[in-house]
Amino acid sequence: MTEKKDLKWELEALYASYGYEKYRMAGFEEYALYLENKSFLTSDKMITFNDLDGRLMALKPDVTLSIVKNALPASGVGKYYYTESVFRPNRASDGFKELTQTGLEAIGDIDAVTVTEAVELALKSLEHAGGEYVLVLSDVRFTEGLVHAVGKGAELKEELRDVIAKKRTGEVEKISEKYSLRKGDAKTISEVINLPPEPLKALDKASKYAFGKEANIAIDELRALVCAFSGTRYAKKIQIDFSITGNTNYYNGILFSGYIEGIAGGVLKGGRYDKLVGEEGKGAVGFALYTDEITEKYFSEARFADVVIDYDGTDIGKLLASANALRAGGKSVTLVRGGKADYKFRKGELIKNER
Amino acid sequence: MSVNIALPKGRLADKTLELMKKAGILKKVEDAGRKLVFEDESGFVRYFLVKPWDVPVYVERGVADIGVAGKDIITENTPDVYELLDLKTGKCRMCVCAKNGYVDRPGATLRVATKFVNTAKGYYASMGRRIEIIKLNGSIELAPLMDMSDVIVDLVETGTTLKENDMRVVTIIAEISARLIANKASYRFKREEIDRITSELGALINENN
Repeated sequence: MTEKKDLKWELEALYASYGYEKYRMAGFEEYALYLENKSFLTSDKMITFNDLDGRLMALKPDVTLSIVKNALPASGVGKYYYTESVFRPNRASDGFKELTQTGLEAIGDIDAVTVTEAVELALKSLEHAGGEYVLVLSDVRFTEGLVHAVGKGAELKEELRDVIAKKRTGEVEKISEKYSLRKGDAKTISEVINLPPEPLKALDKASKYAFGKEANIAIDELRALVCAFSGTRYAKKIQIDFSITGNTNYYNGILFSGYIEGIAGGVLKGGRYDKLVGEEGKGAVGFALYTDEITEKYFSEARFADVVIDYDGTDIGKLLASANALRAGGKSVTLVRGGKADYKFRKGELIKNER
Repeated sequence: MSVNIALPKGRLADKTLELMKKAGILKKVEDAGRKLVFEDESGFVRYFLVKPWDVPVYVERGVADIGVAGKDIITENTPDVYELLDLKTGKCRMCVCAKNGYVDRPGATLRVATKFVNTAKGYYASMGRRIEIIKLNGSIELAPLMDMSDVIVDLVETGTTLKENDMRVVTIIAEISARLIANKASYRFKREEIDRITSELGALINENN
């Protein structure tokens, strides 16, 4: 059998080794919790129902909100990891979909060490999948600095955010004409959209367009993060790209998004979201890894048994005994009757009819 | 690493292939016939022809690394992809059109026939106008002529069909052209190849415009 273990088990062991504690969510939570923070969620649509006492409940669309609202420590940092199913609308099928998330949250007195450690865990989580991977870093403070420096008026600011997030280089010229931007501004936006893949080169270039104190702090923090991993095997796995965006009502610093080769969308999303905590001096950083597609692509080999015993009218006791003898020797064994071993058993060694 | 490209069947595919050959991205443009997948001699690109509305789906799901899609389809379906380049071809306009002589009654619910449901909803929502959408799949101009709708929201290229049917453009909602779109994960892992295609096509487009 392939020697790969269960991804969930591997990740949970990894997070526990960093002192993170397991967090288990209730199956349902009051709808009001999600309603108050619905713009934090990827969609405001969720599965709701009335509980026996009449309260409107929701089938968990998210985990972060629950942890932030329930587990904020009075002092220090609370570190939690989880593996949970969440239920979200699926555009492709026009219905709800159950997704498995494994992730972590650190909440409380967050500092640069906690953030760097979260980034390290994000890199290690992607590495566990087994394929080629990239972790893309961004920071809302840089993007907002740029948007506010260039854009006058809410409509233009929104268009600029959209142009950066979607890398709409073709729209920059049109927006520039429509809103009579200064000549250099169009070039600035295009340069920020097309930063080089090497992180330090990207940051050197971006630093020319860091407008305001916060944007400059963002560049410094990103540079410190990149440098923290220089000389390690993760150095080449990090990219800087400000197309990674987050809702500015919640996110206030670094953002990250992880990709694995062969999987179409981002598989890991996270960042710094002190504003969600909403308490002076308290912060939060965390990420979620969407594991369904990773498991399907890199861990599905485990469903094949090492040995298939094709039985037919046999002595059941003897059959079970011979299967168990093989299992005792470390093999996985499945019993299939009368040559009906279908495709999913074919990778195993086939033993015919134990009479 | 070779790049998979989804192209919309029809004129836009022909134009794009011609452009890619001129830019040196493709060695040879094959006759389409009934074939759907084409491997270029260069080994650098593999392209396939799909329905225009399906291009963003192939790109978003990563089957194609990049693709060519009309801005109308991108706006309507809002796929989670990067929009790297305006190819400045396939130009037309998304418009509100009505029969000549039609007078709008702002207090009444406006009946809007269209294939572009989300675009129409978004446009009228931004104006706070109450509408009733009538979703059609083709021959949209027929709806106001048969008094099934007050207006239509549709693409207008030359305006000939409108003229022939005694109709006119009431408002231009957006300028439309073809865009080069990219899958977000492919952009990470095939950056060099995608950058090469984008910059070579971009340089050629700038020369021509």
